[in-house]
Amino acid sequence: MSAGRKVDMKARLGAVLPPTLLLAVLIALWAWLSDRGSIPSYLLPSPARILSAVVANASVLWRHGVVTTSEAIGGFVLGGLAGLIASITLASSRCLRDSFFPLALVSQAIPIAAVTPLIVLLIGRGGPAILTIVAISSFFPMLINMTRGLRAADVDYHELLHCLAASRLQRLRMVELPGALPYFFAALKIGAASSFITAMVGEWIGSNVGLGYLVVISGQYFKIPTLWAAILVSSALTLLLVAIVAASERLAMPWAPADEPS
Amino acid sequence: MRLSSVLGPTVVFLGALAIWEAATSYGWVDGLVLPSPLAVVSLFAADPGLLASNAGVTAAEAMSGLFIGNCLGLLLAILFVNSPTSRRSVLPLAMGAQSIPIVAVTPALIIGFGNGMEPKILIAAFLVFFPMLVNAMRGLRSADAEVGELMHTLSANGFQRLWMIRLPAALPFIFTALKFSACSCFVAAIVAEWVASDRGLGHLIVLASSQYRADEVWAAVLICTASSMAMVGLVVAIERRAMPWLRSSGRSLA
Repeated sequence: MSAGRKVDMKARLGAVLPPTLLLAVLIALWAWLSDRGSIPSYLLPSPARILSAVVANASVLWRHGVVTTSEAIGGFVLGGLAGLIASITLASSRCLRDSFFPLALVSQAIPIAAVTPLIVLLIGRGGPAILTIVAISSFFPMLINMTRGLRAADVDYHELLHCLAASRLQRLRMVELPGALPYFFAALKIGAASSFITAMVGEWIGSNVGLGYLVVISGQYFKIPTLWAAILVSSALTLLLVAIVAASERLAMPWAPADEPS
Repeated sequence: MRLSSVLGPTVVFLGALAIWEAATSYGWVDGLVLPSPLAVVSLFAADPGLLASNAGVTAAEAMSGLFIGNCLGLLLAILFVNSPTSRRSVLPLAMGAQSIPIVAVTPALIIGFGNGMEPKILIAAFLVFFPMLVNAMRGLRSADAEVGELMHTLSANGFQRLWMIRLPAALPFIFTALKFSACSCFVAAIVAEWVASDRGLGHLIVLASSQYRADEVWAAVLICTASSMAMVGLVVAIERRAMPWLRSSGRSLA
């Protein structure tokens, strides 16, 4: 047991150490180039200046960050739920699936962010419009993945439950939903990675508050460290959300192999 | 292919269009926010030059970004794939970089490079670079080990192994990244144009929506959607030709 854990620790260290070292080298290189003046500071300030901008603008970043986070998380949850319900509806009828699923597939080729101006025209500027855009952008991946996932369960299980006279709801709960879990989390990961950036881009043309608005307005006033501070905060929030999804995936499906690069 | 799999989506699509047209012509919604589909279509006939010239600018930005980003991603993947150390250090960072909102850097790039086409191309290239890098690295490594051993006994050199074994094995992964980028390069170009530009579909969208010319906004978004769908369609068509052995597996837009 202890030997196994030792090997496990070693493997973990081997997975974590190289990227951390590379990241440290990249940041050191960036700091060095900035100090030498090789990178113009109006384009990319030194890491130290961006960090001090985060500290100096903490209250502003907090105020805008809360708005963007609520839009991103709210849209992510609403869109995911709507996609889940829609996929269960589609999975229940072949006719519905044949009619709507091809259109959902085609929607993958539609740049959802480009639809933002239409939503802003329809709903008006502000939070609800941004929330709607984020919801749409996480709705379709969930719908597509879950429509596939709900049919992924082994047909033998269906036959077994049929023999046991299980109801439709029991089949959904015991066979189809557990079988669809990998697809569910794949969709969640897509939605988590895109929700903050979708909200920020939406705020560019559809809101007067939020991290996306802060990025644009700092750019217009040439407050470049503030601009990068907002980008840093939004990246951290995105990574946090993705990490939460990945952690809940491991909790929900302990039998699945960890998604690590080898 | 069954009849219902063609008929169903068509009926749903036409039904939605009919409801939309009815909603606008009976005045259920304000024409200021939602123009009728006919008004949008008639705009294409009324002013094709305006839409075409702006669409051309956006398409040029998107295509250049698509090309540059994917070439760089593929090249770096080929460079890194043979060294385990660089692979283990680069791959996790590249996966993390995918969740950084790169598009948000646009305002900084526009300050640095002006409001011409360069910052938009850079953003589009950046956005497609990481997915290609990650997918190509996975794909190049997915080659069957036994075939690699066979090539070794045939004393094939590194280039031959790459060309005959690794690249063919990586094709499905590369096309997955290409399909993603075919759509996202247009998003990148348009969204970058929102921040600052004097040409392009994104510019047209911002200008028209600030003047409540909803039909023009819809027309611009429709062109953008159509071009990105055409791009995805092109990639799917090339994919089918490049990998005829997968053709039987059905829908590849999936």
